[in-house]
Amino acid sequence: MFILAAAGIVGLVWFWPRAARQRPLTMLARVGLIGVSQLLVIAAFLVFLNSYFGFYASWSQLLGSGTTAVVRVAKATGPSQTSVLVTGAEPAPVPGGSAQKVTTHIPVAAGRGITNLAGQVGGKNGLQQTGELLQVNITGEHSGIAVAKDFVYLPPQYFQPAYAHTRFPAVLALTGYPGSSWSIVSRLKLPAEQAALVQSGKARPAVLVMMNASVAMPRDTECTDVPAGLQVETFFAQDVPAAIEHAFRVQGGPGSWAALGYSTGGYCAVKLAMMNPRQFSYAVSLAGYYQALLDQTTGNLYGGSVGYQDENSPDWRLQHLPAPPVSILVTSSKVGERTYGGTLRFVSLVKPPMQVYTLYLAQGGHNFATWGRELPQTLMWLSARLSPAVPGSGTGSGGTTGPPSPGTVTGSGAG
Amino acid sequence: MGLTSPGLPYLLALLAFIVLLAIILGWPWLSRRSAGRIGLRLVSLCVLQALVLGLIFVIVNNEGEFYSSWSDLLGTDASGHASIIAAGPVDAASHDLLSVTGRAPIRLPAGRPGGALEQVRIAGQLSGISIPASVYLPAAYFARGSRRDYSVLAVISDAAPGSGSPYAAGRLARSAATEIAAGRMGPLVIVMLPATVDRVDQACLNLPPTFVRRAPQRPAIQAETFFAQDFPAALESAFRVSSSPANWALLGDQTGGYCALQLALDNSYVFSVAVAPRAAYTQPPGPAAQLPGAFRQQDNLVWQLSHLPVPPVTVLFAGPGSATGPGLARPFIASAQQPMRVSAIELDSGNWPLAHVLTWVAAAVGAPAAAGQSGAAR
Repeated sequence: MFILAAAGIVGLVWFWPRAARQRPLTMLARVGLIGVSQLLVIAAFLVFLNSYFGFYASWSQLLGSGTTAVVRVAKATGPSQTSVLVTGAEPAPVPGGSAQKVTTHIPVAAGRGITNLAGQVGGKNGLQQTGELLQVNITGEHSGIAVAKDFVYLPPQYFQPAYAHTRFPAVLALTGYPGSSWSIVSRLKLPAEQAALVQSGKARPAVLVMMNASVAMPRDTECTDVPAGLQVETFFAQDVPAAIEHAFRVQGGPGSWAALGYSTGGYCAVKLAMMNPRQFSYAVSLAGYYQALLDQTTGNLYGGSVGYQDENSPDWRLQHLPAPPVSILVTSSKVGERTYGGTLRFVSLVKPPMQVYTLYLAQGGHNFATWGRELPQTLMWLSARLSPAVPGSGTGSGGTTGPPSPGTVTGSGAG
Repeated sequence: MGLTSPGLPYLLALLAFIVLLAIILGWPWLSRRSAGRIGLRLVSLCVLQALVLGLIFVIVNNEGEFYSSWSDLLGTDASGHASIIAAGPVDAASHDLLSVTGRAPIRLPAGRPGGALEQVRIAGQLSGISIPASVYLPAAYFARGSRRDYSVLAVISDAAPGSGSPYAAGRLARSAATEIAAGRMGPLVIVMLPATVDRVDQACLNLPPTFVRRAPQRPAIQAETFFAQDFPAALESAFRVSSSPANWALLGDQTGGYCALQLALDNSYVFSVAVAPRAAYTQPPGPAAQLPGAFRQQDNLVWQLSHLPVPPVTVLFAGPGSATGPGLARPFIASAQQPMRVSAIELDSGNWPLAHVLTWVAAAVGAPAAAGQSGAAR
């Protein structure tokens, strides 16, 4: 794209004299030539902006031909089926370093436990220093939603002998819309920031699950259970934690999971925690909003019901339903954030047993640089609350081994 | 001039237009073959390009509010230190999720202890729904050194507590006590809950407030939140019961059958077994049936079975109504696939119609009759 744009400019400079005759037609040709070269440069600029902000990861995400991104598994979800598939792995990015895209492809042998695959790249000793970044596909057992190319960060401690039987707390981190989960690693630098805080003793290790808040790009699903449609809230609140707890040594008890997100992801995190406080005891909303959206990108999310849309609004829930027992941290900026007013309103509505904490910057826009400045305090706030990973503990507090499957399955039929 | 000031786009547009005009008019002058002129062509094109890109960026930035200022854009914004503050009121006294209002022992013939039936009130923490319920605790529950993880059967029925219905609390508790004493089933905690919440049959669904008939202004009644989240949390807070879905079952009669099936299908992370009478279950009872299309589709349990992943739950068709063959439940049974498991049994005749159902449920949720004790304890 950039080469094409540069070639356009050089070509125009080179063939300049051809359009130098004083005729009306050549005047038009000049405008046309300049227009084409401008368009090429603009297109290159847009490609750069898209990759910089991580809006769309592929043409299909932008144009909506990506129906394959969501696989509807209506049937044949046997209890033995793996719901987390590792498609790539590499040592996690270290603090201060730049994150490289996960490229290592690990062939997944049929029938092998997923925990055997984690920790195979970079050597055990290396991973004990850096931790590991995995690229994963996750299939929701209950919602049937299947997503690809999200990321799981396993901290260095996960590979250290002292923690060999320890279960870790987990943070579900969600992007804005449009977004790509890779920008949580590369632009927000969540794993590197968390690693730096753990290294300096300001935070305790946790597993990070970094996902695109939109499971059906280009549609903006706003983490909503769409009536007779995509059950996105169920996917994030039930399927993802169950799948992660099953695939990794992650805790399942109260106080062991938090949801975090920026922009749309912030709205999602707060909504998920308020609707599922037993799953997410804590939520962080970086410049999120607190009312359910309905616009062109969302399509019809609420089955045409204003009432159901209300139920998806954190503000409305606080005014009409009992407050859930969750702790929430909201951030915004006094100057440069149009979410500031909405955030103040949301905070004013909170009542016990719900607790709300605020972090307001004097100034900062709706971008990764601002959220990056908020991140250290945010992660320390979370770390002080999440149920810690205790080294040497046999089971970890509240650990489970995933959803138990009842009995033997022998098929259906009246008997 | 500020990055987000309204004049900036106009200024950039004006400059871009002037440069464009200059290029067009000065074209012949620039087209002479000399290194200087070629350089000027390049410079003029780049200036125009920069102005147009700047214009696009400023407009997009104003639209999306990505960067609030030049310092924000350049990453030099470190304006002061902010810290996390606890806002709003911090915690009031905690309320009991479940309070016991009465208690009666269950006496079996010959004075043997049959456990106890407690009257309780469950205060839904998330739904705000508060309803009375009965809890049957087996005799073993009160034994010294008793286990900590009893399996739970939740019975959803509008049968009046004192009525002759086999689903009424007193009769059901006696039935269970008899079966347990006879060694045909293991000890099990049974909770009797009404299907009707706030005088409206909610079908145990979260009904959007505007769709409750005859009372458009009433608040949302979050019945599903109550049954699937509040009730298990309350019971686990007050009694020594398991929190694993493998140990939780639902049982409904004609009034609570849809509830039992619907709750198990939608919340297989909470419940793994459901028992309901043979019926079609293509639409919920009560005002929920009036919901608009998408909701109606989703509340059709047969539609759910063919359009959403089939959950790993075990379903038993048993109850009042036609007793032989699949009957109205045929489409449901035909749609059920692995990992779901469906069976059907008939109700017993005599004093304890649900006796067989109870022993089946107990076995399904991990409270089977102790080996060697079966049938011999009488």
